[in-house]
Amino acid sequence: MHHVASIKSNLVVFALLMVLLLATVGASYVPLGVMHFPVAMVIATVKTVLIVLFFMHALHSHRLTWIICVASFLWLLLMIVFTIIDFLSRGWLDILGK
Amino acid sequence: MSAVAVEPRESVAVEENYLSDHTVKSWLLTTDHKRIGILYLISVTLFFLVGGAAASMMRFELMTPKGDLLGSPDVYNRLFTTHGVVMIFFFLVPSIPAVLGNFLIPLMIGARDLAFPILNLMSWYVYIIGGSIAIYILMFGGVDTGWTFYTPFSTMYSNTMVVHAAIAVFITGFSSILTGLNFIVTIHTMRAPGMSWFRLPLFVWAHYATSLIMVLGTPVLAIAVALIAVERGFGIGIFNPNLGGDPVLFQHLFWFYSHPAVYIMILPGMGVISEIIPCFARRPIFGYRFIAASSLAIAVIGFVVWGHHMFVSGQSMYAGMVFSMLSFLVAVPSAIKVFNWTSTMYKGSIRFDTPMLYALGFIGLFTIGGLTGMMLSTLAVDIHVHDTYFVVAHFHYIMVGGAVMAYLGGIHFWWPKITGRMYSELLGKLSALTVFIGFNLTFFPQFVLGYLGMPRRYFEYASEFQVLNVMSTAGASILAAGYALPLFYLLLSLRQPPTAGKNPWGATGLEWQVDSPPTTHNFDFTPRIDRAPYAYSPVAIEGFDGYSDHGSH
Amino acid sequence: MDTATMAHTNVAEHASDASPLLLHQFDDVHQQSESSILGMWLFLATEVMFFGGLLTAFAVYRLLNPREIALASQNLNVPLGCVNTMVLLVSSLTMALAVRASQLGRRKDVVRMLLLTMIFGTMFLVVKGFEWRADYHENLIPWINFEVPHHQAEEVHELGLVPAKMELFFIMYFFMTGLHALHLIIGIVMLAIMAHLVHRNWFSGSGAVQIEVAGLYWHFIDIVWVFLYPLLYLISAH
Repeated sequence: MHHVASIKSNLVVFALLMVLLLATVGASYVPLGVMHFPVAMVIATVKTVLIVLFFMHALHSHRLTWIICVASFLWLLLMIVFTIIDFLSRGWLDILGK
Repeated sequence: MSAVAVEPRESVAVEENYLSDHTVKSWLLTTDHKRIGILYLISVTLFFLVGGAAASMMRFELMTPKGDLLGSPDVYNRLFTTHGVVMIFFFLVPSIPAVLGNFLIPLMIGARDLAFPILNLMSWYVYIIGGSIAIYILMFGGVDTGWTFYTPFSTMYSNTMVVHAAIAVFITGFSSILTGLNFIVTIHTMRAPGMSWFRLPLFVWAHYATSLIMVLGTPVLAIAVALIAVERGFGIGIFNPNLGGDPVLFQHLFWFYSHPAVYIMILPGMGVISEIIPCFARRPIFGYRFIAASSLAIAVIGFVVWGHHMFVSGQSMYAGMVFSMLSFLVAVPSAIKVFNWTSTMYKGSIRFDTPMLYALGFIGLFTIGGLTGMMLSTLAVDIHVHDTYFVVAHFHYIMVGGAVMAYLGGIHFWWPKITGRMYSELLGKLSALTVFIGFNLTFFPQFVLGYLGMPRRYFEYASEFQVLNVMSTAGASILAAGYALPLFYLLLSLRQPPTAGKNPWGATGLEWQVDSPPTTHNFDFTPRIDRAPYAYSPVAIEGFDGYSDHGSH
Repeated sequence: MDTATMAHTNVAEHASDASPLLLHQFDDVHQQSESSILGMWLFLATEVMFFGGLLTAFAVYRLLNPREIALASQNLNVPLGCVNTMVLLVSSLTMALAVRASQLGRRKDVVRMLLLTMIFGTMFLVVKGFEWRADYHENLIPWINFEVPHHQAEEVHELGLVPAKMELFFIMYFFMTGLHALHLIIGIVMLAIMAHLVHRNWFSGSGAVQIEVAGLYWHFIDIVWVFLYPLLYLISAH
């Protein structure tokens, strides 16, 4: 009933995850300045996508699974972005408390 | 669990239904969605009485400008907190979904039960555990922070049982998550053959949208109150500005759930109204797809308007502008619904039975509540009326005039299905009218009070506000009578034999084709659906006497 | 009467599906497995928002207090965190292999892989425990003994940083890693039950659906850590 992933493909995904882990640790020692945080998050997201697609079998499952994955990620972004908007734009007006 | 267990299905007598087993054990260990609905019905009614008692005491206190009845402002603070916490977390949020939704969704989509019956029972137990803690708090000290638990008052200054309250809310949230998760899975996987998405009753669509909010919003509330409990319990700084924290962050996390929670309360009510209106207007619903899609739109847009609670809380003005715009946007799908209900009634053969009276009341009151909401989402106006009785009146028009009216309308509409009994139509109409009049007398004066500048959550007030406050209290007494009336005649109806018949209203939904009350397994055979819902025509009114058993084919 | 009857009659009806474990509310095994898997995915969506609340708080505090948070983060053990990430990723691999074995009906392999997964999960917790113990000895635990580490005291003083904001980092750190560890403990218990049931041949088949659902939860715990590690450990000071 399900697509059965081969051991080889599991190992390949695992190897990629290890490489990405080392990449993220390595990147933290490289002076990237403001790009440091985005790079770390992009790598973490790629790792997540690999885990979700291959280890959690989202690649071969229902379209609904995809929707849930994407939606939950979007909702998280929604919460973070709209909250951050407030904190970032504080003090743009020269009025105390605005 | 008796001798019947070994019998095949055919021999089950006609009178056998989901209520037949009377043992306490059969109720406490049931996994039947209908029985769990009844368990919720009883529990939310009890909490409604608790919350209502708190409201009545506040109203009596407010009859005079001086604080004389309750003796101290502390008592008053505990009362409005109790009223808010109990009514929102323990009555409104579970009311329609957990009572009517539990009972009806499997019947409406042609399923034998929800996808996870044991999880469903668990959600009730979780609710009862959270509720017991709430009752414990009530008896041994109370909370005085308001239902919003704003820091730093809740974490640093309040001397009441805030940690207990946070735990109660945290636990109860999981009951809501479990219900929502169950509904979504059920609606996706358990539909009968032929029950395509656009043949689903709008009640089911509304619950689908509600469940999305429950699943995606509630966990954030859980974290917000958990942080409050940790900050207060350990005396460390999480939201304390002196220790690097930010109190407005708590408001962000809190309202990320608690504004969508308003839609958890109102969306199921809209679902109920979408069932009642076409039935009593004998017309197919107007704009089915628009109503269905607007439920989802409300759920989605409702997630990005939360900042309108924080216009004067020190939120940046630019964020305020974004949230203000988005708040206006959420009025569009709400208005689509109101216009479609109105259009459904156009040229219909309208019958003014009790459920219809409640539904009509809902439309009017919800419209007033919604339009005043537009006033509040206007940045400049909000600064004038923020934290006044104008806000109190606005959200009571939505939650009491909207959600509670819809809940009562739904209870009256499906009472014959739930219990197999009809109630006194005369008393029913009387209750709908009493609630409508009492409600308006209670809350309309509060719009005026708020606009004149009377702040909310105050124990005493300036004497020029007294006339309007007395009006409001008088209205509350009428409202209380209106709520007590159904409790009386609905319970009384249980003394009669179950003679309501399968379909006393001549309605077209699948739930009306099974017995009243339904058998434990809902359907004798798997139903097949071959038409769109709401196939009403004015002709069907012929020979409709309100009690006979109409076409179950 | 009631549910029991229904379960009986329906099981009898669906006996041809060769599944003794079809619950009464479902029509067939496919519907049942689809529901379980969908249910777990939705539960994970709630979990995303659950951790999401903390991540939002952390994001805001990192934005408001960048220097204190970066300085405080330097007290975490990056290599140990890296090893722990590896351990958790290995456990995800073994979990994926357990799911694969269950799909192929190899019960012994399922039990073996589940046990390995549990061992790696426990290893993670042990390493985490040592990290927390070290934090305790370095007086980094809020409420109990937090104080600015001696080697950073001078820097804090020079730059005019607020020690309380460093403590705030550790509050978030312990809240998030604690919640993550709690999830891991629940996961290990769940896998233990699963392994036991597979071993006892309790499931029809080899419990492919149940193992898959447990696997989804396990991988989610891994994903949470994939984000926590760079967020908490790898904030560089510049």
